Amino acid sequence: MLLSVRDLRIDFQVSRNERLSAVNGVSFDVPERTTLALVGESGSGKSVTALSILGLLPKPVAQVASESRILWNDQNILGFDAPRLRALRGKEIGIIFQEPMSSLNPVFSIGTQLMEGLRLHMGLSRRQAQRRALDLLAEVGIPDPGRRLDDYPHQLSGGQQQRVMIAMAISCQPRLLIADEPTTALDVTIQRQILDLIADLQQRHAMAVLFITHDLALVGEIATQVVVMKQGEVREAGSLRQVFDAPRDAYTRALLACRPPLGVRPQRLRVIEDFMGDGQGTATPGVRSRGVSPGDEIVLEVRNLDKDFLIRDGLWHKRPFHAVKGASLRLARGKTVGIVGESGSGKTTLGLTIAGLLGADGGQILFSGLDLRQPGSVDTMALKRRIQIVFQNPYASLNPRFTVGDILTEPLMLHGIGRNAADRSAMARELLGRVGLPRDALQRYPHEFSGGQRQRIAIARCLTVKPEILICDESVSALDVSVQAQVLNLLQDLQDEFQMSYLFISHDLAVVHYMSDQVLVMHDGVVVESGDADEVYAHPQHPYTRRLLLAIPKGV
Amino acid sequence: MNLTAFLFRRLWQMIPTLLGVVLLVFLLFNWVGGDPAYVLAGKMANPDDIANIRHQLGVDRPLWEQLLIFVSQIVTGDFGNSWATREPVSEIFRTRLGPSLVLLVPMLVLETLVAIVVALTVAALRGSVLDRTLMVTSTVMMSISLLVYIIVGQYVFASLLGWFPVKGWSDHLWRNLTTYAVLPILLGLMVSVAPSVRLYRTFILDEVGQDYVRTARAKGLSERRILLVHVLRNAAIPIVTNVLMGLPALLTGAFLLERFFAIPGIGREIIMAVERSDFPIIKAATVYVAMATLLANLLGDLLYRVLDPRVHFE
Repeated sequence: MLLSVRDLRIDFQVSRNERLSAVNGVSFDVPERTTLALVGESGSGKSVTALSILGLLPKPVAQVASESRILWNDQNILGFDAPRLRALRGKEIGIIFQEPMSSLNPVFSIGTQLMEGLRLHMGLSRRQAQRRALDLLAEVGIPDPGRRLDDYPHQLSGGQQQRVMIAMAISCQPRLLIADEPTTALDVTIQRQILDLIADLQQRHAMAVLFITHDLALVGEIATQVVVMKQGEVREAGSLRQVFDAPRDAYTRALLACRPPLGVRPQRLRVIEDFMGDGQGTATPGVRSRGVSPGDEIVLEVRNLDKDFLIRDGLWHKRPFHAVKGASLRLARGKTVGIVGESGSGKTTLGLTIAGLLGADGGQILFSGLDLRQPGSVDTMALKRRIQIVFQNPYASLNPRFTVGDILTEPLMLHGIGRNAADRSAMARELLGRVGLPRDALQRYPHEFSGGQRQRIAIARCLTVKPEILICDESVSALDVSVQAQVLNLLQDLQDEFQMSYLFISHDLAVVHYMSDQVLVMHDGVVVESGDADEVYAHPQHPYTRRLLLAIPKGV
Repeated sequence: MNLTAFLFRRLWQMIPTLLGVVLLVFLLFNWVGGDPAYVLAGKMANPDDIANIRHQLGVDRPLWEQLLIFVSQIVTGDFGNSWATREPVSEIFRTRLGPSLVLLVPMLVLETLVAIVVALTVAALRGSVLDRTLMVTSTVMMSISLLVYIIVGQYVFASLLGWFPVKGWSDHLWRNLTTYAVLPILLGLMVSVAPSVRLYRTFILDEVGQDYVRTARAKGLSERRILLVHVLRNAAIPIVTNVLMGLPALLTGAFLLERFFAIPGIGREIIMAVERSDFPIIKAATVYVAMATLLANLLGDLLYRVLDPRVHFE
């Protein structure tokens, strides 16, 4: 056995008398030349486990129990002294991380960073290391490696940065590659390329791979063995087939079920509670039909919208960068238009411009027949009330110094809704119940809530002013899959109840398909394809749409 | 954008800033400076004397004319003569700046080096007893007044032990550096090193927590190499800023040290000029410091480009 983890227990000393158990008795084996996936949501302890293998946890804070063993060729890594551990790192075991940009040192060229390990572990001369670095860059698919060697990390795209990280990790021919959420920060087409690259290198170099991810669909693409973790414990372990086809554990079953399927569109997504606990699930059978009929009332129409950003160019000049070019869409009452695209496609800019948070440079935004771009044509305050937006990061978009009550009553006050403070606070309390939060949450602060709960607070804040249009800008992208399903269900319930129209912006094609009646595919600021959601997904016309759809991880 | 265009644009942008400084100095002095003629003429002056002096100084001319003269002085670099001593201002700066720099330049260099070394050490051992001891010590050190260091230092090391002269200055750079400037430099460092240590320690700790440090560790690099190569190179960016911000202050000397060690530096001259409302010297000093600040900023931006490949000339 190449690597055996036995009864791993890791505590974090958060303060003098508070310990937090991160990993609680985890055991698994990684045989030679296999790919084992460690799957779990945030807080499952999967990354902590991975980092502990290389001794990369913050020293005095993270404490590994004395009875725990991490056996590398039958030797306990946990007992290694510093020099022995260093000889293992980068030489026998390579690792890549989630954020390639911050994982590379910004002030050294990628060539320098690649050669560092080669010279240290392989004893190569400068010249030899340089030649090897060139080979490595070519191997991981960096075009024109000779020219790229002197580039700095920021000059590469995210996908290329991750390729460089991979080149660095495999540079000394390690026998194990640890990949800690290597594609989570990347676009779906890039994710596909990186997965293929890892699989290819695993074969070619006869490495074992420990693949850490929150995304079960990815696991099916790459792993042969699967370990499912939850709250520091292993819930299920086995071969890929067995875990996917006949999951024994309720949590595994829940994880597999709560991602929106691409083929059918259930009435509601299934959530963890449907599988665990007392079985009081909210799942309702049935399939939701989507689409817009010609008679539907159009609440928002965007015609040929342009948005430019100015970039300084040369000594005095500024040159426009076209973030959105000629985008058009029609949003019907009670319906959802999904906007998909990769980073830099202009989808968020389009959303912000429609919300009035950015000024447009051309085109029309017709809202209930009024052109929002005509100055003075509408009362902007009244307009702001009717279009609300839920952002991606529920940690950054709520004011940490405001109580939930303040957050919810502020918009009421601004728009003069409610007779007095007591009235407004009663409204806020009612909304909290509506989004599934306890009513005593009013007096508490955002940091006391989990990511999913915070996104509910953000949604409740929008609901306070009873908007007609809700723009969801990657609103569920930062959430765990199980929480994502709950929030998506909530959004769906609210739409059914209040007949709100949604602009649902996401890079996640499965989620967009589940939520949308119509979709817009954006690429480089241009809407390359739009139409009925089912139609676009079933018969994509534009090559870019086809490429996107092909890149979706299919599970098994 | 290339380097020449960048430099050109930045130098161009300096002009309005400098004009603002000039206007501010001029107006402030005219509003709150008082009439220098009264100061110069002494207690027994009669109105004729004062009018005479006012005429000599040029303060009886219209304000706009005085402002014009001021601007032309800046352009030519000739700020005229001191109102108090009649000595040309350029001469004062030429002869007094040297001793101040002999004192302050080594002090800045040593301060930076010592601070970086100590900060790296405590950052490497963060949370340890040594780290906490050094942090407490530095707080204590910077809390004590320079005056205390000077008096105790002069008494113990110069007078009692005789390691250094108590005070004095010579005409030879080397002799000054190795004999007369040593004690004042060391005493100055007692106060100035501690804040830098604390600042640089946080800069370094900020970097130690970054993801790339984890990557460096995962590559199998030694802690020493991680700190000295990966971390220091990144921490150098804010450290350089801090050092550059201190450069313009070199022009105003170090009044206390110069005073107690009888060093004929510029600090003394400027303090005396302020006391006497000696406008030409104050004007010159203010304009020089403003220019030095702008140039130090420009130098900083150029250095960032060298230290940080992410920065472009924009």
